[in-house]
Amino acid sequence: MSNPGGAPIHKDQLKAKYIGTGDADMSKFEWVTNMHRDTFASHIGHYDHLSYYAVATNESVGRTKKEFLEKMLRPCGRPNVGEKEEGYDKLING
Amino acid sequence: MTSITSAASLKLLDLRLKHSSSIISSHIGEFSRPDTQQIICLRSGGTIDLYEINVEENDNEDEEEEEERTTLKLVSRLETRSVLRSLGVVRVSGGKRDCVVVGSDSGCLSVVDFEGGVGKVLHCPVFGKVGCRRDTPGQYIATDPRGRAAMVASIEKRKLVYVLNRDSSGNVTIASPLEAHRPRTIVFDLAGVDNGYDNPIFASLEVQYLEVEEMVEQEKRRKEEGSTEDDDVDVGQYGDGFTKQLAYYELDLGLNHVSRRWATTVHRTACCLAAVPGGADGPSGVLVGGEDYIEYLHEGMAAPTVDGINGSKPKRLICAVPRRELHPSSKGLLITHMAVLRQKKGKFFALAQSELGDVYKITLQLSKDDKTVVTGMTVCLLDTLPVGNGLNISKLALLFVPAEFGDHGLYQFDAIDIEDSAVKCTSQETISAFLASCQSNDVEDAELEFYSSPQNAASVAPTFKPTVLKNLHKVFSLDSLAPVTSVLVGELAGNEVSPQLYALCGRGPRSSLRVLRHGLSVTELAVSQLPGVPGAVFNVRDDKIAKNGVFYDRYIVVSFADATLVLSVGETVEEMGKESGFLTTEPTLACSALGGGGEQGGGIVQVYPGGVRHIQRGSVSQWHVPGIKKIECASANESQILIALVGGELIYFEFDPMSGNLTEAATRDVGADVSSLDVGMVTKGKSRSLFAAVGCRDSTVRLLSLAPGSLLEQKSSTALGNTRPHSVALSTDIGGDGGGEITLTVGLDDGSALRAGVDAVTGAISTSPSRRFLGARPVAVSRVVLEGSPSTLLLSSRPWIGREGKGRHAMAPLSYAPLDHGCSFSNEAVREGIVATSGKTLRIMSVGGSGGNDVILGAEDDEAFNSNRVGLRYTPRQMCLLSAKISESSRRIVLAVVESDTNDVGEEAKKALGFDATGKSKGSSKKKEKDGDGMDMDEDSDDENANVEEKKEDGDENEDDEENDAARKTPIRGPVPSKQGCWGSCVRLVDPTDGCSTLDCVEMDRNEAALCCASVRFHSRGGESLLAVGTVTGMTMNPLRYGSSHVVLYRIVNGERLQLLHRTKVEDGPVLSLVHFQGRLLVGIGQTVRLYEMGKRQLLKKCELRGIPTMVKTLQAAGDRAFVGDMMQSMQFIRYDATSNRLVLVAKDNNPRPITCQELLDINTVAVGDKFGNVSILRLPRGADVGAIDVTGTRALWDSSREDATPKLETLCTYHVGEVVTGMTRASLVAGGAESLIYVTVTGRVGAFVPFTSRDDVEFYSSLEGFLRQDVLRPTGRDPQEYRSYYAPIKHVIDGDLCDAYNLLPYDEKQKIAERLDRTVGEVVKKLEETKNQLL
Repeated sequence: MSNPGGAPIHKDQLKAKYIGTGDADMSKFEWVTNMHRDTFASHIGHYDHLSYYAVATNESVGRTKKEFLEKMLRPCGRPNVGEKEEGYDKLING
Repeated sequence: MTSITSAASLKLLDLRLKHSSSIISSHIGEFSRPDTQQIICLRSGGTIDLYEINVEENDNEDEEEEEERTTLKLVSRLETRSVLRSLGVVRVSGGKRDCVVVGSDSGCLSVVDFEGGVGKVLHCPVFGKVGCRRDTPGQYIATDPRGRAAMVASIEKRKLVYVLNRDSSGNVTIASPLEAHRPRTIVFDLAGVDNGYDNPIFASLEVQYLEVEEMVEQEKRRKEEGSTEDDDVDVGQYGDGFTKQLAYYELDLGLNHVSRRWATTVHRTACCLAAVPGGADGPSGVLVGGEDYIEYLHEGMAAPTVDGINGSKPKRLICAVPRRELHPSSKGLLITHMAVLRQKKGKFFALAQSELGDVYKITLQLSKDDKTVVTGMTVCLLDTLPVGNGLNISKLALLFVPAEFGDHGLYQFDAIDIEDSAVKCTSQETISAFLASCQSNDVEDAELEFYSSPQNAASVAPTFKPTVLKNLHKVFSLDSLAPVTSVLVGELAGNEVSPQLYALCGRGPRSSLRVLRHGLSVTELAVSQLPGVPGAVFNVRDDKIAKNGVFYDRYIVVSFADATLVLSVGETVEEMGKESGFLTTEPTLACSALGGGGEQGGGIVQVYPGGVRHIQRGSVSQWHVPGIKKIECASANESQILIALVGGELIYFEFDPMSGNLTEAATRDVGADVSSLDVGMVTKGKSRSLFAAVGCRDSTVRLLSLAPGSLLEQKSSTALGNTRPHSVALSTDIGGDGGGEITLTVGLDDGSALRAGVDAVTGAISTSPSRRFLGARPVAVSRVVLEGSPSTLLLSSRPWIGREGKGRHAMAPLSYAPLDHGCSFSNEAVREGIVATSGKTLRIMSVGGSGGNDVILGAEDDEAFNSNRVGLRYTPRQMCLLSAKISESSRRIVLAVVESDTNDVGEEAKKALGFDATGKSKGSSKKKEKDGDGMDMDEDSDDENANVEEKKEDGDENEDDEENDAARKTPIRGPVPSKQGCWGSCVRLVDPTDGCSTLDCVEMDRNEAALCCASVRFHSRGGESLLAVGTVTGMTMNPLRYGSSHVVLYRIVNGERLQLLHRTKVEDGPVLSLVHFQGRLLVGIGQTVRLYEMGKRQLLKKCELRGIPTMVKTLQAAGDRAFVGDMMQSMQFIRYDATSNRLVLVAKDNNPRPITCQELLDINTVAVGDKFGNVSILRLPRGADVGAIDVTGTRALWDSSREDATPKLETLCTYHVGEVVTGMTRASLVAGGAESLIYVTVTGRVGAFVPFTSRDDVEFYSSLEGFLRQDVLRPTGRDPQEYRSYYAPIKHVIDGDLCDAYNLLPYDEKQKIAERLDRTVGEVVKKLEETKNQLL
């Protein structure tokens, strides 16, 4: 991809501009996190989805919405590092 | 439905029967004209509704007190065909009205002006991509209180500010957007800070998260340090590693850019904002609501003046919220909405609602010296209302709460200065409690920590017991079905003409079973017996005009075969004798009061077979028919009388107001026997009707002129084919220009009615009359008045009302017994009534009178449904019909409903806790203050509270108090259990023939939840209908855990009682669906489908199929096939192989659809609804299941493991409804009509998919839809076709809503489209109408 001038856009720039953009080197954790954030955003935007979940969990719509928003911050927990350090890259990159 | 599915391709038309009733967001303002109070509502499903608050004062002379009647009236409705998300209201400087700013999924911000009640899109600037994506702005909208700018924000990162202004000619202008983006920031709420006339400031409640690389780095550091302290903190609680901030974004009007001006850390659970008045009106700043606390924040605000014990100074002005007595102290109490009302002279207060529905009043204490310094805050309990999606306070002392589930309510304030008497908490107390526990020097952190624990809040806040409304009372409620969980159609009441629609609605304490009937509800006011069967009924209006400019009726004249009965209308209806002057020994053919009213009344004319009688101030003049001829039929109005003699001779009389006499003006022979006549009505300001309609026995209807120059000249005629006219009526709709549109309605002998427009000048009958079948009897037509506009009453085997409204003709049956004759009726008590006869009774009634809650026909473009409701205990989940044996020979149909609520406790446990669902503890009712002026009640307070099962405790209370109670009852949510996985549940048996009264209700205990039910007839038990209920114990949904699951079998004893037969524990998962399958019971258990046979002690497992992808959600069976809907992976068709006793997978769907409901159309075809609001129709390819089972069985065994070998279902139709479809049923809504697919959605919409039966219709609708996609107004800039193809391209379904929008187009555009369709406008409108009429 390139600018009209011909200079290539760096993929970091692209990622900064279009959130949720993926690339070949993306870790599985990052991908999954992005997916979950998109999903929650869609649920929050569609009122009927929100009320469907609210009925199912018997919480108020306001509470359901707030929980979804909070979950967007860290939808898939913390990234897995530590003991599996050596195998981690291999694991998350497939 | 075989006829439709056997066609090569299935084509459906989506028709809306009832609009979705959930309100996403609402606002009070002055939209259509200044100095009104109107409510703008965003409805789920893409409609913007504008309601006006009408306060009518009924001054009844009899009663001393003036009664007020507050109603909401729909002013305007705008279909956007997009997903609406947010609403802002802005009064652009220099304007007197408010504009609406709407955020949707279209990637545009639309500014809509409702001048004169017509929605007009002023601007629709595009800013981003389509969809509810996390970085597409539109999720939040905040407007500057001074109307200078609007901020629109996405959930993540993007914020845009639009500067609004007016150009030299006063039009609203919008500048290009200014960006205020902040990466990785999740926005929780947005508000426009009132900053006087300084630069506009927007407050945003937001959290920034880390990038993934940083998260990994942070995680590594944490591992190295070995810190695990905040590992077990849930996200959203204090200590989870995120900080929530309140940030001020300032729009610099001079430099034209936006900057993040100021930010401060707030309470971690904060979730909503409300701006406090500023400038000259108040201290400015925002209120932040979160769990347990409400905080006041503003840039540069002074610290609270409470001194700490050890010298530490608190920084936050925060106040705890009073809690319910039974609310567990380990659970937070979330404030979900707040609203601020500015009163006069810089006074203001705020209201906040908690997630349980309690509404609190917040007041700020200002420093005496400086009105911009806030020194304290008080939060006191106002009342408990249904949980809403907002609070709209009107200047008329009204509060509108759009309920998230159930009916929306409009409440009147009785008292607002309640600080002294109510349960309250102050910031002083809260901060002192913090300081008392504070040890650390780092006050900021200590504060956040202190305020993050619900236990601390519980120790500070006072408790209360929710009771009836004390400071508010309900004045109006707006019907809402949401959420509908299931639907069923059938004529179960046992004595009605057309089927009813049974819907399970509501949640928790507001749950109900509603019986919807197509038609308008009727309030019966009086029934009296008559000496015989009448042949006609007439009304005669009074000479004197009443105070409000309406004529009331003086007499009701009932005609019998050989007599006439005259009843006088006054306080009571009494029989009159000779003094009325009527000839009572002959039947009456027509009668009317003459003259325009006033002093010199024209008297009354009575037409009887032998002549015409003019009764005038005691003197009577008669005109006798010459010879032996008799009058066959007649018609009269205030000035004209037309009679027809046997043989077809017409004689016309006219009333001369100068002399006060009747004069014979013209005669004419029409050459055929006349069966019916109508001289039309005299419109205001005219002296006569210009046309008369004559129905002849030669199957024609002729239109004669009554204009002085051309008396009785035939203007036009219409042939009716082989039926004869039974009755005719000419009605004039008074148009805005005073011209009036004349409509001819003909009731035919074959039970149908014909309606045609008449040209007001030439008298030509339009060439495309519309005809509709109404019932099995000849149709009698008469004119009545409904809501001040002329309508027609059509009586066949069912009574109907027809009315013009909003560019279309609407027609609906009355939910009432068949009537024989009828006419309008009006007196002081009943302004717009109907008097009618049915058999030997005379009835007086009014249409749609019950509290104005019904959709009055034509007022909204919904079909008219009236609903009866029966309260339920918990959220209803499923229902099924059972045919129960009463005796050897008789059976009875009963309805079983399973109800369950998670996060709730059972009935017994509630009692043990001391919870009183009625909210009427003795102590509270005594506290009720009886202050005079505040308590005057609305007469039409309807008892919407569905949960009311209790009997009135105090029998001696008089009627006023009972009405009062009804308006003060409020549904109260039961105590919330402190841990997850608590359930309250019951199984209920309802008798549909007896107004859905409960026969038996079995409460499930042991934390068991009944989730599904089915009627099953085990062949081994002789075919008795048993009720099978699937239950789960202690289930939590996220993560999915449960104790055990059971299938419980009940017998119905005597058709009225449930008797437990046995319980069978099932392994492998929760039971979500059951179905009767070939004399056995098929059960969906987690990923398994299992077949059970009846046993003595429990069910016996026969065979099973494992490996359904996720979880079985829906099950249906037909023949040897079962249709399994998976929670995530769409449909699987399975087949039972009886020879080897196996269940075999026959076919599955390619697309992953999270199924919510399904309905079989035929053995190969199934309609499914999914969680994203799509409806698809799937079909098994021809011959696909032949290969699935071969005689040896080996092939299927080896092939079934191969993914690609399983046949795939074809998708016949796809359509995006726009709301989660929760129930579907295949049924016809009229007895003997064609079947259609009726669906309901979680937000309360009822719709139908109607199969097309002819290729012409398909072509017509396809091309009409095509044109409308181009021409229809797009208020949010969303393409209608794109919207209907939200998740998958629309396929073989035509959007009936869009086609209906044809009626709303301007005439020249209508004309253009009609031309391209090779039809006239009238024909297109008629076609649209006919399609709808076929359904209902």
